[in-house]
Amino acid sequence: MRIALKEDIRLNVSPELNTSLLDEVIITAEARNSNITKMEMGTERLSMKEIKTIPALMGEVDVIKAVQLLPGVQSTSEGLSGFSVRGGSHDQNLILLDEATVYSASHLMGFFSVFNNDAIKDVVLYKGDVPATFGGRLSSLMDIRSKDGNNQYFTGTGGIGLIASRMTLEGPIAKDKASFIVSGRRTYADLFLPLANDKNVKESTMYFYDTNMKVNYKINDNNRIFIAGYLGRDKFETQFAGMNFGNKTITARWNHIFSPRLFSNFTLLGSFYDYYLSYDVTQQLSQEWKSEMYDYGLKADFSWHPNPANHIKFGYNAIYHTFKPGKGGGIDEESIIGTIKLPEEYALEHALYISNDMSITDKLKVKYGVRFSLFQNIANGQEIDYLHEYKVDYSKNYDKGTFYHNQHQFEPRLGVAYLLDEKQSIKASYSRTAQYIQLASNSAAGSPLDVWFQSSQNVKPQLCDQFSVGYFRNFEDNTYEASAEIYYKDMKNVVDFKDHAQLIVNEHLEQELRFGKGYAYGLELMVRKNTGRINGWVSYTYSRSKRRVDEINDGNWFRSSYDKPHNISIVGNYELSKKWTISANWVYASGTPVTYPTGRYQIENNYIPIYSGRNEFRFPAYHRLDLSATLQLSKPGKRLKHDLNFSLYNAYGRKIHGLLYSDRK
Amino acid sequence: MKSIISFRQFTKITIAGVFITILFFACTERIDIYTNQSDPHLVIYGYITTDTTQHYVRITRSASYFATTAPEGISGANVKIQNKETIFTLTEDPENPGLYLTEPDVYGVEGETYTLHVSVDFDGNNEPEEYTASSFLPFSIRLDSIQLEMSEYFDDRLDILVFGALPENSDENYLSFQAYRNEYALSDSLINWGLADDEYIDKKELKAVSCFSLDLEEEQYQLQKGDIVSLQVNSITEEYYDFIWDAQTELWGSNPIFSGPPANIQTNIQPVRKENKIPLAGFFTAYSFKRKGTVYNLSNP
Repeated sequence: MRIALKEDIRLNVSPELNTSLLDEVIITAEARNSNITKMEMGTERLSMKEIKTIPALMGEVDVIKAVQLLPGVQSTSEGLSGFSVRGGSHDQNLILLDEATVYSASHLMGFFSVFNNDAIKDVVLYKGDVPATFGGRLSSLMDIRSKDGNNQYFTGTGGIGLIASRMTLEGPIAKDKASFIVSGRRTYADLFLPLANDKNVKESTMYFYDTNMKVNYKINDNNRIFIAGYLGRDKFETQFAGMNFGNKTITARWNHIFSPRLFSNFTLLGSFYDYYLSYDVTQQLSQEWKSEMYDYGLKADFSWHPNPANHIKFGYNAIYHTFKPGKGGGIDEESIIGTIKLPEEYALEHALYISNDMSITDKLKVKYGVRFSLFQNIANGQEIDYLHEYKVDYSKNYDKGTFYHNQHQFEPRLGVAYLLDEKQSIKASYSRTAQYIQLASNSAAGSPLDVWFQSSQNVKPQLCDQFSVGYFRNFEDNTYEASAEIYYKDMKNVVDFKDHAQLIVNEHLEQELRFGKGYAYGLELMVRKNTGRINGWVSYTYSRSKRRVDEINDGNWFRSSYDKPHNISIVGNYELSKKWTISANWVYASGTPVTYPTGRYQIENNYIPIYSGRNEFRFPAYHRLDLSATLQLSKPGKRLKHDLNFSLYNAYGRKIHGLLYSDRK
Repeated sequence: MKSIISFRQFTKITIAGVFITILFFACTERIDIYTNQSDPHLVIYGYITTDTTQHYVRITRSASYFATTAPEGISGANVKIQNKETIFTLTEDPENPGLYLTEPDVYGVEGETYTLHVSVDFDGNNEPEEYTASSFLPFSIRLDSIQLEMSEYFDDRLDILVFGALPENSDENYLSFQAYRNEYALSDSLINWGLADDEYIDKKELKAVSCFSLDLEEEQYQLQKGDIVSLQVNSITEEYYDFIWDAQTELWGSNPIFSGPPANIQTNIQPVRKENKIPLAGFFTAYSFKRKGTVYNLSNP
């Protein structure tokens, strides 16, 4: 469909049902060569249709597992939902669900992401060229949008899987005016625990659930609002110990069109994360521990088209952070455990931004912008420690509510794109990003028990300057998209932790931190076919990532845990017939860097290891083939659709190093 | 065997419980690793306690990780332990190269600080290098009695309950535990020691606090009626507590979800001359202890 932009028009497009007389109808929001013509680079888009075709672990289709197959993205550990983008840490990814931050995006200790595919519309991953609209993380932005809900008629979607079932209902509240979607999912793996031989496992509880909700209301052609929410929780309980954790998010957005050239979004946001631990073997030693954090945020975003050659975006956003890293104590009256409460921390993180996408000629486009970020620590009425060489130098008292420390950054964003012709373009970009909050985690994969902590008078914000250049080429009438991108990242104030750092239940967490610098560089190649009966992509990534911290590895450069030079992903989907679709993916990755023992000495009848330099060795390379087949059981055009999916994970049975741990024997 | 008093251990045990549950769904596979050999480390390890006995300091050379021979002792060292009033000179055991012993009537005093001095030619340049380390000797707990009780939650586990009190004149207490059967050490290696601290404990009195447990399924812990089971409670320094904790952490292994990268254990042995770059390992510490026993008269499960 082509639209000539000669006058202001409003065009609502609704796909009609029952298109069986035609072979294929493709309606896209963007031109098929938009990957060539648009300014953005280092950006990957996945629709739920694509994600659903990818073979899934235990049949649970997973947004993040799909993203891990994209070039420049690596899994932090086998089967887990943590991911590293272009050599960055797993806490350097900003994950947004309807613009609300999701702080812990995994269920079941990381084996599944919190995103229920039935409730998700699409996902966009920015691997470096993060728009000025967003900030707060060094490596990437994963922008996930939930479905709006069908405003024409009621529909329901459900799925029964090996470990979980899910149900989604959507429909109009008022036809063409208001719609809703409600989605829920729960695992039932714990139903099988009683079959275990181990008494402790047998009497354990282990499940997770999540729910998504969204209501849309179109007030008139110039005003729309939506409210979206997410609630999810994991629960594990053994005879003597328990753990549960979960996220909540809420987004309320008002979309207002001031004029055909000026659009706006005003958004209120809430993000909450907490976990709870308990231990109850004896009355005297029974104890519990809980940790919470929450954000309240607001955003005002404007999009202005003063003329066809310029697209200016500007706005303001603010987040009020509350960190409650932990409090606990004895559960029973007889417990000898006292109470402990780690200091609560508060901060205001806000930013002003402006950017312009500008067409200089038909072939040359530039993008320029800046984000001014400001992070303000707010006193909680307790003494604030000032450290020198990781020890308390002096302490100060500030009145509750005082902004006692401010840090700011100008974060420029620059880009240029030159269209060689309709089929090919070259692009380059530069961006600076700043990160003011980070995870207290020194493991490669991260855990739900990690707490976030803020930049402060003792912790400078992490900074990253990223440069990238890319060549983009489409073939055969845009059926095939090919791209080659190289990047270089220079990171400052990178946070690491001293050896054997105590990161949980530590009042003096900042004393465990060590600071350094890092760099990463790489090449990403990809060929992708989005349409036709055969579709998918092939990608290769060469990626290196190094760190240097004075107090670690004798001050020498070392590989970061995400330094895996070679990555290959092949993802294919073939519509065998109108009933059968088969899919396969194969992944290969260089082994994860590891620190091996290189010597030993004997003390008290034990051999204590002496270790190599940090991450001096590698585990064996990783590769895996997954297969799936989907049988469409319903006939085309029927309102009730049902299909059957078979997935085979690790089809050739390679022994995969899931949780690698050393053995003392 | 673990004792559980501190939050640090609480989180570790809770995490371990969940981790074990997850591993229920997985299988394990041993893989071979190929590694090189680090430069030899000078290893000095010893302690002085409140017990009147022959104390020792062992000086050895580290070996390759896959070495199958016993550690090589380093002979010819001058070794002394002193506090502000007394110097104990240690002499090398002629039958155990690298093992240096005090006289048999030596003991440490609570509240005193002890310093180890070692002079040894480790690098073979005929010039001895000097090393030193110091440790405070912490105050002991009051140990009135112990009691044995089968665990309410774990099959085949015998809890050792402690009755007594933490020292009144010490705000921070770090404890290690070792169990004995008829004077034979049941926890004869560092990985089997119990550890506890009182950082978040607000009561001095200890009434039936489970400080240690024995897995009776393991052969060496299978007790007979009439056996005397003893518990030794050592009052140790925070630095030595961290040393044992870190060593146990490395020995128990790590996983990618909860563990940081492996790292060498910190030593408190320091070269006197800063230009001495010989790599060092080991520890010198002082501690007090109390021990109590009781007769095992429970029926074996």
